[in-house]
Amino acid sequence: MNSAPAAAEPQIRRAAKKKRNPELAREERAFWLFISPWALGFLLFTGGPIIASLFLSFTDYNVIDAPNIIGLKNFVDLFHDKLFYKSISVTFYYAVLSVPFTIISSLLLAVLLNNKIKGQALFRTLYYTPSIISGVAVSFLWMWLLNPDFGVVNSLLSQWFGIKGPGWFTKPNTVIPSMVLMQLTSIGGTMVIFLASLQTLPSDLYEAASIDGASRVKKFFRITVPLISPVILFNAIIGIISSFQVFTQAYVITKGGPDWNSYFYVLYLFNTAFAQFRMGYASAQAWILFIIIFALTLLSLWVSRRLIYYEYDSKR
Amino acid sequence: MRRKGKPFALLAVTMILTTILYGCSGSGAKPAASGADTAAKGNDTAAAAPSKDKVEITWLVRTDPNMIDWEKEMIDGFQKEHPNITVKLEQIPQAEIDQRLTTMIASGKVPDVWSSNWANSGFATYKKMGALLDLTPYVKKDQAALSTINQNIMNIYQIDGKIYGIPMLSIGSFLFYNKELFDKAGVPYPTVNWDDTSWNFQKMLENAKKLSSDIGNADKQVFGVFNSMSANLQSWMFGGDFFKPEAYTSAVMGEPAVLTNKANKEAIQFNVDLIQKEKVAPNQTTIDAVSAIGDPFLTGRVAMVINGGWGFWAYQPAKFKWGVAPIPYHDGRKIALFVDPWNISAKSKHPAESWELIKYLVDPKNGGKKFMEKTSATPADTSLAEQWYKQIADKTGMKIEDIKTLNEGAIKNGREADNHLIDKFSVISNTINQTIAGVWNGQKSVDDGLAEIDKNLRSLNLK
Repeated sequence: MNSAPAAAEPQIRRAAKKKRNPELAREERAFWLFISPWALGFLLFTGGPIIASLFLSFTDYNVIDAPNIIGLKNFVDLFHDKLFYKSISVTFYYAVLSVPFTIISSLLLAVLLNNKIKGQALFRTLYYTPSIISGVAVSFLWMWLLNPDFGVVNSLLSQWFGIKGPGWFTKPNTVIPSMVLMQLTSIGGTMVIFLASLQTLPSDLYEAASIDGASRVKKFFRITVPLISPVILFNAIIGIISSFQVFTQAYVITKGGPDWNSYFYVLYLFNTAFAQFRMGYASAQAWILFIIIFALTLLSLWVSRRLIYYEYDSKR
Repeated sequence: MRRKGKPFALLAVTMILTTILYGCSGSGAKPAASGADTAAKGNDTAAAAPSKDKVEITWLVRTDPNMIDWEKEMIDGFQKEHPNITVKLEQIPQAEIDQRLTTMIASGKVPDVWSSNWANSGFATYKKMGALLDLTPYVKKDQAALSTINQNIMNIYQIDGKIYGIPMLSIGSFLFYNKELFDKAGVPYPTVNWDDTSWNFQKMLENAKKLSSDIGNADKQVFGVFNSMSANLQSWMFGGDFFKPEAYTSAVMGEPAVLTNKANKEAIQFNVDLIQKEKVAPNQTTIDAVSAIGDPFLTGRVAMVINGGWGFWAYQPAKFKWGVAPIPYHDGRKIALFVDPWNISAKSKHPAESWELIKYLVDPKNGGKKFMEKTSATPADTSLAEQWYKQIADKTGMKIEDIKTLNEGAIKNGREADNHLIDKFSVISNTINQTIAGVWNGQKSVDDGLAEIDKNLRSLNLK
């Protein structure tokens, strides 16, 4: 009895496939049609430059002269470049602090904003608004807030708590934590994604848990977190990628200082390209960055395989 | 069938759009090749003659709302004189010029006329890159038109006997002081004479001590002095230099002289002491905070400021009376001159027409004169000097002969700023600044700081 349907299955599938075929083909055609503007745009305007930069990374291109192929020299030089390691360690340090900070703070904020209270829409708008402000403006804002002598933060610290505030962006050991703190005005995007996923959670699970006497904290860790774990993973990967691309804050506020302690990888890349005009070397840097981000993404996917719960398992 | 039609129409539109866009980028790429041809031609010693055909040239300027009237007036006047030439004005914010120029040069669509010092990288970087046209044949042809430009200033942009830029302005460095604060503290005004050796840094410090008050009280503090110049330019004032003399002539930084030239330590230590020991100068965080809202001197909280000669016009809105003095005397003192040239791109397809525009822009009876009237910038052209003294005297209430003495002394004691003469200077100055900030705020000793700067500059390996 048990084996009969199993044996029949391939036949049924084949039949179904044949039957569905025209519809599938039409769907496929529509898919390619609708994706073609993006695909063509990518091939022409992004794909081209990507291939060009791969080629340039093996050359000594300096904008004026035609590029000469110099093999792997750029990559060899990079691995002997002290500033390359400094910029990588600065960037890693930032990512290690910034990704968990952003995820936790935006998730907590999303949970708060998911409460059905009066003025909910207003609060959601208020907390999201800072994320639409340009990075340069946000940088100036924080420069003011965190100025050690005249900033609001330090003057409140001393008036309310009698603490002498830190040097924030001006001291080597506080500059990266200050930049992580700056993320507070940019968590709106992550928060919205969390909020959307929170709204799809089935309320029956929570009701059942309430009947069993589960506390709010327990419900959060046992129901909410597992159910939205794919979203957490998504936000974590996006967070890792964006923290490896940090540029504006360092370019505007610190210029990579003090003492190279905020010399982010992309800032170094930018300076190589547009202050030193070493386009070949900068292309090599860009490809190394790509490999790092790619490897980190694979790593986080691999690590998370057991931690993530998919309600609709695609393998099923 | 009708439902199917729509996606196909969409596809058709997309295809057409893509073809158009692709076509554009294709035609955009073409001038690169022909641009290279012209570059090769540009290396000939002969000056091209202006063509009679219709020609369009691009003039790249910094985005500056104060200058737009002058720029439009120049274009109108020039096009009237040269009906076959159209001038296209391209405005780019200064911070973006390096980046945009790089892309323009790489694609071969270069601006024809621009100023290499209006980008964060200066003249030397673009000269070394090969982006600037040798103007010698044009200068030879039109010697009469340029004869009144100060010869020493003209020589700044002459490299290996070839002229690469025509100076439009020449600004010195000075000490600006707040007369009201001097009167209040009963301190006599300093001299206007650059050769008066009693006006030295020791004297400046004594003044600063008398002029400072309430330091530490953010609402009331008045600082005696603020030296706004970079670390290397401060060293110049003490006869020091972070670089060897040949760095300025060859445009290659080479071996730094940070540790070998002993005057560097004296200069840096002096400024650190002003901030940390004597507490008469503002620290970096104060400067950062104040600079975000305007110039520190204009706040009326700094009695003396060492700054570029743009103070002559930048300080005109001040709500107090101010005066100008020489940079204090020191053996071997050199001060920075800031001379901006007009340049033509090596890849320009219309060098002769571009040259006509430059001639029009610097003409001391027309473009150059109007430029000076508009900007108040110190002219490089000697025939405009008298008018400039008078113009500044009218606006500041200073005596004409005092302005003349001050400016002539500045040119005599001045040499062109480091960032214009050494290749890739924005990288060099960023490297110095990474360390110097810690020295200014007392985290690093001057010896350690200079040793670190020397080490980091060497590791840049700029050849």
